[in-house]
Amino acid sequence: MAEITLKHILIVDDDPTTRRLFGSLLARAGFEVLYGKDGNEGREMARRLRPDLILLDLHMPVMDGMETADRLTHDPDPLVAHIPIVLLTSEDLSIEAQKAAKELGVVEYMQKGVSNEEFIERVKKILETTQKTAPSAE
Amino acid sequence: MPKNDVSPALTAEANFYAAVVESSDDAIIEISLDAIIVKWNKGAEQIYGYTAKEAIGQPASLIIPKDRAGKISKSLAVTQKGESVANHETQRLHKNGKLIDVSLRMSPIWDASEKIIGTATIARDITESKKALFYARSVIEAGLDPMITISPEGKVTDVNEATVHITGVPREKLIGSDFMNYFTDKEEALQGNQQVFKEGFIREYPLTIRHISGALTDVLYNASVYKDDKGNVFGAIAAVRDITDRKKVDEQLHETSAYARSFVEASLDPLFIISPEGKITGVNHATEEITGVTREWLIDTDFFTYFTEPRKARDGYRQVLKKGEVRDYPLSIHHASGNITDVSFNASVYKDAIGKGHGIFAMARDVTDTKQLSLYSRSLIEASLDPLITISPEGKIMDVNEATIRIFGVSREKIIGTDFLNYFTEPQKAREGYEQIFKEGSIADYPLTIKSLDGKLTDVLYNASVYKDDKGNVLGVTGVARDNTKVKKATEEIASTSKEMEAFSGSASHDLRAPLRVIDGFAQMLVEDYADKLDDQGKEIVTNIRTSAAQMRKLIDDLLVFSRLGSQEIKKEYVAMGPLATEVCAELKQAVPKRNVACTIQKLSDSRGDKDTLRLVWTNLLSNAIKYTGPREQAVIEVGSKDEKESITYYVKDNGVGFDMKDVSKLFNVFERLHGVEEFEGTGMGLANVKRIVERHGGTVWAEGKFGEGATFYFSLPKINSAPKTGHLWRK
Repeated sequence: MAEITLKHILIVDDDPTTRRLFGSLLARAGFEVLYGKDGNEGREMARRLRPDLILLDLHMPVMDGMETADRLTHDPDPLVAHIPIVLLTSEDLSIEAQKAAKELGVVEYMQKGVSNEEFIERVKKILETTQKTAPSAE
Repeated sequence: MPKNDVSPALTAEANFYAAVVESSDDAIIEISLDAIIVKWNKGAEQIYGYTAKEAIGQPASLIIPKDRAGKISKSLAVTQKGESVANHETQRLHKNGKLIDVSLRMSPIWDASEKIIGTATIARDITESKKALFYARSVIEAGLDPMITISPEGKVTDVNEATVHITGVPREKLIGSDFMNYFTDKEEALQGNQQVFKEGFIREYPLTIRHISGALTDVLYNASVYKDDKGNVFGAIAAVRDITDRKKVDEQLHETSAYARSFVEASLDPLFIISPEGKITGVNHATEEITGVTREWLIDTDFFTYFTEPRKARDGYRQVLKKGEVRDYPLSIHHASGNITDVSFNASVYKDAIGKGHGIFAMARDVTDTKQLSLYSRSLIEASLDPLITISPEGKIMDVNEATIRIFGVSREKIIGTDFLNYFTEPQKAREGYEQIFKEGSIADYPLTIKSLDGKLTDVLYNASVYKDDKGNVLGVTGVARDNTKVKKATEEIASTSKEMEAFSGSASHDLRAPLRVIDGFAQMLVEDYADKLDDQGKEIVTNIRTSAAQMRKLIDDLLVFSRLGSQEIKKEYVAMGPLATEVCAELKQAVPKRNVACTIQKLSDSRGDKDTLRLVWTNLLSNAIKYTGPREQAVIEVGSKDEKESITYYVKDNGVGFDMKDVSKLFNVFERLHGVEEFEGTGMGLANVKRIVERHGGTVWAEGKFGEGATFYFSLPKINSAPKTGHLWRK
């Protein structure tokens, strides 16, 4: 069913054009896109709307991606805590940073530099793998 | 005589003359044709002792000495013929019977009808001046030196016995003759006399007098003019000093010291012998050359007149007299042509051979070149921002620059000549350092603390070395202090600045990447989603946008690598170079499936280093090789390595377009491109990054090539077991 397969993806990034680019790509690929402009807004929307995937920018003012991820994965609401998170970065992450991110429950990290096609492909793949383990929204 | 027929005007004129005659101090009398006194003024009363009453009516012989009676009648006869008798000295008889010296002139008296009616005689009493003359004569005679008085015309007007003796000419013949006749060199004598009348005097003018027998006497001629109380020059009084004896002594001296003299003469340094009065008494050839004045003119002149700063010259001279000597006294000599020569004087007091009297022996050294050199070195000294100091072998400060003045807090004048040890908190340590310089020739980074006048302390590192003349004699020490605190601070500043720069370029690159990704992402969407709405031109525009974005992205990536390479620690891990190069080559070949690329990898020696960055080296070199073989039908790329003593050299050789060896130095520069982007794309960062990576590993890069005939790029890395070349690289 089309309604059932309709996935909600939350993009949290302080840069509006980046938000819009990835949002447009996702919308074009048939996803429902939600936008958050910083860590706090992202958290609030995640708790309220419980998206299927959160794309979290690493570099954000006030509360960066790591901290936001930490709060989300440790959210008292298990439905929120279990939403898969993907870190969006503009550079390679050091081994240490990747480790730290993993410990926080981040599924994986993706460079913003990936091509349009790769971006969509990887998002779909992540959704497929996490779908199986994630508790049902019902 | 009453003259009743005269007009009133004439009477007035006569009255005027009568008044003049009456008021004159001279004796004015009128004598009739028959030699009877007919007029007698007040002056006559004074001079001759007779009143007018007593004299008038008496014969003129009243006042004429008996032995002159004949002469006076002759003179009267002359005037009666209508002529005058010029002023002459003669004697007259006073009422008291004494002879008086007078200067007298006689002239005829005409009446209105131009008939001679008598003689006017005007006499002046010259007894007093005669007395003075006798006094002068006695003075002249008392002088043992020959003395002559000379008229402005150059005639001898008086001489003494010594003059008669030295010339062999009797007094009567001498007087009235040309004075210069008695000298061997008449021209010289004349010049000397002219100088007397021009300048008022002449001193120690050397002449030679010739005796009538032919014997010669060397003399020094001293003369001065004499004037009346109104300043009119009457003549010159000259005294000559016989210096034959002195000359003999001199000659003896010269003989005994012939060697020394010839040495002095041969000396290239100008030499001055100066009397205690400051007159030059001796010079050598070099002195003539440096002043442009001949010996004859130099001798007896004031030595200081030849210097641009006469006062300073005189001061130096006084110092010699006071201290016995001066050394390296700087002066500038004026050449007659106007040229100036900088000299350095060494002078000392000397006693002459007789032990009597003294003078100064001064040697000048032309220091123009030295001065230029020293100006040059001074400019070097001043150019140094570090405190610079030169010290004599005795430990006295000879020169300093502004930086030293600042750090000492004392003016240059007060520093020069003082003991350098004074300026350090530990004089003993400073002395030890100084001794070490002399022992070893130099010291490096010798730590001392300078204490300024106001107590400020500055930690410095001293670098100093001796300097020598061309014979190896140590002339002094040149030392440079480096303010250590400043260096430390600067190093820290540089380090933090470069860290900031790297952080900045790193973050700037990241920040640039994000919007670039957005541009490219949307451009791609535009061409994909709106293909039906874009015509071919529109599509081409979007393609151009995407191409540019891709180029910029590559550039940013390379810049990021470059900035990271500056600061990142380089790992040292075992790297199997063969598999790494093969892997990179395969990847790159895959990217250009349409190209025919033959990549041969020889057996490569393994290395130790940072695998990721070394991969970048291979990537850059191999992608370059593929890129520049683009025009070839088949790209032939060969990779190999060669073991050297302490390093391994790796190379990548291609059959591409190559390059001109004159451009080889540019190859590894940041953003340097030998080809246009249209021809071969690239950021110009690739080889710069290769260089940086290799150098961070302690290796080097170089290249060989020929335009149109391929290129070979080399990089060497230290051998695995060889000692690290740069400490920080292998620190862990």
